[in-house]
Amino acid sequence: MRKKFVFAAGIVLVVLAIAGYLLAAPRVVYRSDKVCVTEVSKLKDKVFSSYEWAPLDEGTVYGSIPVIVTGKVKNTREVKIEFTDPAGQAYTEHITLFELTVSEYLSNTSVSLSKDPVITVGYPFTSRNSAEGVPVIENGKEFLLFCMVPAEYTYEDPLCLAQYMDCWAYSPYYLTLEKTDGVYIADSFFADQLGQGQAIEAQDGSAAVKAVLSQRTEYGSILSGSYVVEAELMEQAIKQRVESFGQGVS
Amino acid sequence: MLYSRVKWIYRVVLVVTCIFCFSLIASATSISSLCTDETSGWSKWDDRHMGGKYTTYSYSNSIIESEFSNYVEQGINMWGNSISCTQVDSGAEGTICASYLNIGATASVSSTFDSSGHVTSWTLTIYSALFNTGTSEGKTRTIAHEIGHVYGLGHVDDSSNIMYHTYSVTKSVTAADLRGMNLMTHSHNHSSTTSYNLEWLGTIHKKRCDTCLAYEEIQCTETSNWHSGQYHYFQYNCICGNYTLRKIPCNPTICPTQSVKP
Repeated sequence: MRKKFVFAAGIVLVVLAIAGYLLAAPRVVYRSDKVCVTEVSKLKDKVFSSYEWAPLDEGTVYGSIPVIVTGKVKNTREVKIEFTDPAGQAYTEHITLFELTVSEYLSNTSVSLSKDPVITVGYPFTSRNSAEGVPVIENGKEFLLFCMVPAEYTYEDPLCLAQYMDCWAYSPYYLTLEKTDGVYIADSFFADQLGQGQAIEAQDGSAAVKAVLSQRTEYGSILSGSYVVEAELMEQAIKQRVESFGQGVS
Repeated sequence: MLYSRVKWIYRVVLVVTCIFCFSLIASATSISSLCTDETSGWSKWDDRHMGGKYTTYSYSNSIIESEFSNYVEQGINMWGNSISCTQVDSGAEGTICASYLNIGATASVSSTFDSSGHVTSWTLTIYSALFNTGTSEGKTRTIAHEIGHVYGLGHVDDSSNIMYHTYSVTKSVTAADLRGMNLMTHSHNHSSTTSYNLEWLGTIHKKRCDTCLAYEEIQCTETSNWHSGQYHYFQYNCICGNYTLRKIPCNPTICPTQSVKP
């Protein structure tokens, strides 16, 4: 009787140990000879970096970026990409992955991305490399995104992005626009194109707009460079720009 | 007898030295209490700063060194004698590394700092996808910009300054950038003898340093006001020691009924 009890207890302990190990082990998103992508937990205290941003021109934004899409975010997770580059050097990068339930494709000239209702998007900022003013990606929020399609990259992709995402958010500091209260929060890049009267300064916006901006660290300095644009107006303006540059929904 | 007298003198000297040091610290303006604006022409990232001219760096691997060292050295040199940032083989405070991600930026800096705000370690990341699309002049300026962040400087909107937020082949290290850098390195400090200028902004005084042009905000208290002719007069008693008279054109809708000038 006693032997049976010890044996059963041993079995339970082994099962618990295996379950604990499996739960504690990082979830693998993708693995190959040279690339290993695993989920990691977000840092409680964000690490902020300071960036020199690359300039944008309308030709690139409306003429070269294949996917412009609106939708709602779900299943955000931070991942660590460990990889070996073509020169044999080991690197580690961190990015955010999330699913976007698509509301509308404002433009899609990609040959490999069909108009899927849900797409996986890669976003370069995480709790480990955030920056003042970048949109904060969280489940349930709505965004307008300008995206590249890694499957169609013409250069070598040592991180194998195409294996675990459909789209890569392009220049998100300027081109990822959060929708709240029926308006988009935009940078001067869009405000300049829309003209006076159509983009209003963020400090004149609603409490919800200010609450969103307050998440992006220095509330005051961000307010002064941000604008709010009525959502429908913004989407129409982007479609018109895309058409004028010869692209559009394929 | 002689020993006890020397001991007594030693104690007095020690107490006087301590009082002097405390008064010096109390009168000095810490970076955290300073603000900058368009007049300053530079800005601080936050309260972190190098606290000296000297820092060291190494590369995360030899391939990155061979690819980028030219631009790194030239970028550091753009700051001239205002900083000393040198490459070492081991024990470096800073690391220069590269990333394959295209995040819409050419480079970035992250850093850690101690309780006094002094930078203890830093990482400069070069985003090769966009960095490599720049000209050699632009790449050098990108590194100079990031070195500004390493020392604690923040972004500005003036496109002629090296700390302008966006890549540019024409931005350069200006007098405004150097004013900020001198404060970040403690080459310029504030003390009770620093020369300041006072500015008005409503009931706020801006106590602006004549050298670095950063300012402290000082709230004034109105002590009296009166009408005279077409003007409304306010006398402010500022905690900085100044009694200042200010007059504004009288507006009957906002001016309370006041007695005439005493």
